[in-house]
Amino acid sequence: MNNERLYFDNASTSWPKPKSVIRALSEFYNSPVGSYGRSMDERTLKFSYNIERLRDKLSSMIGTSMSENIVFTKNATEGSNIILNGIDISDKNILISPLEHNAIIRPLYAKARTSNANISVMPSRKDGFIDVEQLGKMDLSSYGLAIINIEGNVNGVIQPIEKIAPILKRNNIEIMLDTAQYLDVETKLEADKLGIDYIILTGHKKLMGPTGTGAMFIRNPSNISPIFTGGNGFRSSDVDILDDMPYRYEYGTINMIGLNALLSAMEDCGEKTLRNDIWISFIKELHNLDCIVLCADDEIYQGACISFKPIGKEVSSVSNELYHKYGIICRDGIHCNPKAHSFLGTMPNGAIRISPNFFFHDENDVSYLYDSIKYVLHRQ
Amino acid sequence: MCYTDNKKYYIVFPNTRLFLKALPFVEKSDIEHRVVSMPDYISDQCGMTIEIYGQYLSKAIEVISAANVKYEIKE
Repeated sequence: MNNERLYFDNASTSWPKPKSVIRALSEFYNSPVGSYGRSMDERTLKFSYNIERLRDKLSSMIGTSMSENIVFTKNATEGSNIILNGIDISDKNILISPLEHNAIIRPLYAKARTSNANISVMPSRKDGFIDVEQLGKMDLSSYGLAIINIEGNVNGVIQPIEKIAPILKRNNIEIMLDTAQYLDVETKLEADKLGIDYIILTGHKKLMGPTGTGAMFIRNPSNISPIFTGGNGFRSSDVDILDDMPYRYEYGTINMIGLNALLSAMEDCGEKTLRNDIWISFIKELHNLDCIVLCADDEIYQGACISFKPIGKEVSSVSNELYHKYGIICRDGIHCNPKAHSFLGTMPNGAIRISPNFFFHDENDVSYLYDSIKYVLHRQ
Repeated sequence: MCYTDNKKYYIVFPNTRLFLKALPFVEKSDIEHRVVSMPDYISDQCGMTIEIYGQYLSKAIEVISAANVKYEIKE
């Protein structure tokens, strides 16, 4: 098997990137180019305009007409920190899903400690899928904010946000979505229709862009005090932070090269090569091996990654053997998500995560992956 | 408003995004124009604006309306 086909850690960072991304990155500095909106030359204007095209594209993808409220960040974690440090959660009760990543947990817990806020976990099934019926029966009147990792980065569970959001909104609870693992070019969210207040996203996973690209959506900017500020290239003699969106939160020279490459990725990422039914079959077959599979109970809500915990073997040794004997690149450990692994019963050593690239891998790759796992797990 | 044909006017936008949103509409319409730094006498702030002769201004306003952005015309 060609080594290039053995990278199954796309939930960390997707690879390969579309050729258009490589081209955008390699050609960007071939000619003079300045900072976003700062120079009047044709090339700087073109790349600056592309930034606005990307903003509009992301806006359409998450389902909001408030494109100017999409703010570029370096990744989802930065967006999470800006929102959670800028929001007032004093004395509030906050709901989270059981599968929240440290990108949320660490800034949230730090903020909650200084704000006298209480954090509770939403009722859920054993795979972490939020139990909508139980949630609907709860007295939610004292809650102010709910945070939901819409696609888990350990077992790939996709949360039924279209059912969860109406319950939360009926109780005037603000909703924040972590979509880092969820969004690809074919995904549609309905932020306006569902009343989603905050969204964080990243460009380097399923959106196929380079690292260092991401964005956040803030519906009502007056709710979030900016924690960073700086120059915007216009109204420069004002010493106060501008209220204009996105510039209230977007400052300094933004990642022009990365964001232009992300736009290229989203416009030219090709067709999916790995069918979902092949992926689901792989997961089902994995259940027959000597391991505990962490996945969605209901295949309709299965996303693009799963994890497995070997029975009778160390997580790290299986991962090492998969790489050194079969070339399989995957990720073992707790995936920056102790909450999910605690909930799923796989602490302290975690599990081995498999995450294919649906725009690159095919049935043969998944078959080789399965055989490799089988040989490693069943070898005495 | 009546614009003098051979006089220069400036289409000024509240921020960079709105300027960038409007510019392609003007470019696609083949209206003679230039992107220039904000003239000092209009504003001492940074930023760019679209410079256009009066004879093309009505057409420019028409196409910019399609961009649905705020702007001001300055002489």
